Amino acid sequence: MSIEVRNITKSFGQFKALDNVSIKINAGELVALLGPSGSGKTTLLRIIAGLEVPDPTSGPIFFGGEDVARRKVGQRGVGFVFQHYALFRHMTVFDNIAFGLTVKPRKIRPTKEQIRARVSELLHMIQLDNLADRYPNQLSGGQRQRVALARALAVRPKVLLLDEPFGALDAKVRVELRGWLRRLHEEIHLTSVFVTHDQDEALELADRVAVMNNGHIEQFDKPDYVFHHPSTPFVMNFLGQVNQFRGRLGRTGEIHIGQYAGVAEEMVAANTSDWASEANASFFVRPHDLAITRQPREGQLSFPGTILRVHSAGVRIRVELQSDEGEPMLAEVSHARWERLGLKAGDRCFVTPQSVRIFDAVDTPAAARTTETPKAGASASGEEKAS
Amino acid sequence: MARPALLQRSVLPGFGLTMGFTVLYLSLIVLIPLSGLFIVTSHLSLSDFLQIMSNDLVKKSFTLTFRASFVAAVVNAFFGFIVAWVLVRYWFPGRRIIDAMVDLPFAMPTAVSGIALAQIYSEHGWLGSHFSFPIRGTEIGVTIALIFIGMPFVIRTLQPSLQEIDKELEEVSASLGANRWQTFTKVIFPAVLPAFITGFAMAFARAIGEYGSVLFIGGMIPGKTEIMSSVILSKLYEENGHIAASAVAIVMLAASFGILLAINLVQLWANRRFANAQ
Repeated sequence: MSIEVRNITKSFGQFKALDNVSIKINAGELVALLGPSGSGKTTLLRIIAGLEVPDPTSGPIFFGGEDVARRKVGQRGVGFVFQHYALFRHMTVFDNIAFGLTVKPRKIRPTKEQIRARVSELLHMIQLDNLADRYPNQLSGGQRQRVALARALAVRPKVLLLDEPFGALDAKVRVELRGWLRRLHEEIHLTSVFVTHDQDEALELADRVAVMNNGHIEQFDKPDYVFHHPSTPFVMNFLGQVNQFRGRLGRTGEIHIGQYAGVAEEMVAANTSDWASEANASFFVRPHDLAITRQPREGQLSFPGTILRVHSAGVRIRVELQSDEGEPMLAEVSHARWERLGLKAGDRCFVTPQSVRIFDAVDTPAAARTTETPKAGASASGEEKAS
Repeated sequence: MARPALLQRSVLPGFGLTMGFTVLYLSLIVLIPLSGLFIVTSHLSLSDFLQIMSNDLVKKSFTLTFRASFVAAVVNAFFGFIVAWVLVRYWFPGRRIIDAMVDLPFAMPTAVSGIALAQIYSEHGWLGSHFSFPIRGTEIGVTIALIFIGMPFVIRTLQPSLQEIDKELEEVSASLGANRWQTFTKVIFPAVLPAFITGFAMAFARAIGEYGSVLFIGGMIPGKTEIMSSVILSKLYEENGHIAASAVAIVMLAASFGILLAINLVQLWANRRFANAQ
């Protein structure tokens, strides 16, 4: 069943958690709402579920063709899974899963045998056949989350909503459960939406990813498209690490950063019509697109830097650098290339951005221009995962 | 090899001294007086003991004490639950004042509450005059006094337990289609049941031992409103009364002990089942 919300706004006092958000999710799709904390992703999920009421100015919420905005959570036919499982501690695994069936009005309640059959089917699906009589506190985190999922699925919901479903699990279990959920989704093809702040999780698991920031959706696309063609600086920043430089874009397409100027091998602008005039711009370069050389490259934008630290544990070598203006930079090179370069921490070198993505290439008043110093920063959105 | 847990030396200093003090203190204050009670009673033969117990007035006071205490505990359990529910789940002006008032029966001298209740429920009192039947000097009066002094127990034991209930539990229950009543009976109430039972048992135990407040409103009329504590007192004035008084006291002690044991068993059961589910 497809989900569509239109113009949803939700305020908590002065704070707008969601600002006129619309999204359409196709039937059978697995969609991730990805964003930092406070971006409104959980609020959007809870509004879809009916656990939160949007502001009165908001538009409809369609499940299939039906507007369910006025229905309560119990009448919407959603399965909701919480980050901390929210299992009923005083009930066994069996009773937890059976809960949604046992509370049905007597007229439509399945018989005891039907309930038993349905629960064992689900227990089998979550691979916990033998643990029906256990209590939640006798299960591991991953097992508890699977029970919570089975409980949500028992009533055959039309959509499945998961709020940071793997957030409370440790890294290894998280990856396992992710793969398991993906396979499960391929089996049952239930329209599912999950909230996460972990970009790996979103990119690996979802059919489409909605990147959220400050109460609105920045981009809603297939994972590889979101990753390779981010439409806003925020998306670029949030999905993987990126070096950000502030500078100017010349009329002929050359980049000015501080005193250095030149072109890059590849330049992609979100909005090419703005190239016409000279403008202030932010230049984004992924660490693997920042080449390290001993000499500046002719005709290209190259500027000097100092190697601060080298992390060689990993598939690729990660090099922390500092520009002469004192801004940190991050580059990624292969082991082979690093050996040929023969550089070490403390050495001077040149960095050459090879693929540059340009956003907000628009004219800014001269006054604003003077306050903008050339800036390069390696933002580490990967840190989010630790929280 | 590790020594048995009991013999393991603690890293924290001062164990010997503080443990010694604890044992001495408990012995002087609790164990020795209680064992004295048993020693005095042991002078009685079983038949004498049964004879004392089968005395009509003693039997009546037993029945009264347990019945009134039980009724009071049930009433407290029911209304205490509502009060705790309101105090935990809603915010309203004056909430803190009401919350503080709950402790009054704990803090008030029982004589004070006794005299206050006796006046208000007497035939001409503010409340008593509105009833067609007398309250002061009857079992109803006794029960009211016991309700008064037992009230905080249920509320205070339930509050933390109700507070602990995650909003998500109710949300998940609602999302699975349960109505509010089902959410209450199947999710919330079972989660606070151990605390509820404990609160009930504590109110019950407290009521059995109450003396002061019942004295005023009940009047300690033998065979009518005389409770066990009062029987013990009156026995003391009889010839060789201290033995008979001790015999009655032993029964009360056994009852208190039984309730205490029940509370601990409930807690043990609850801990086994519900501990650290997060």
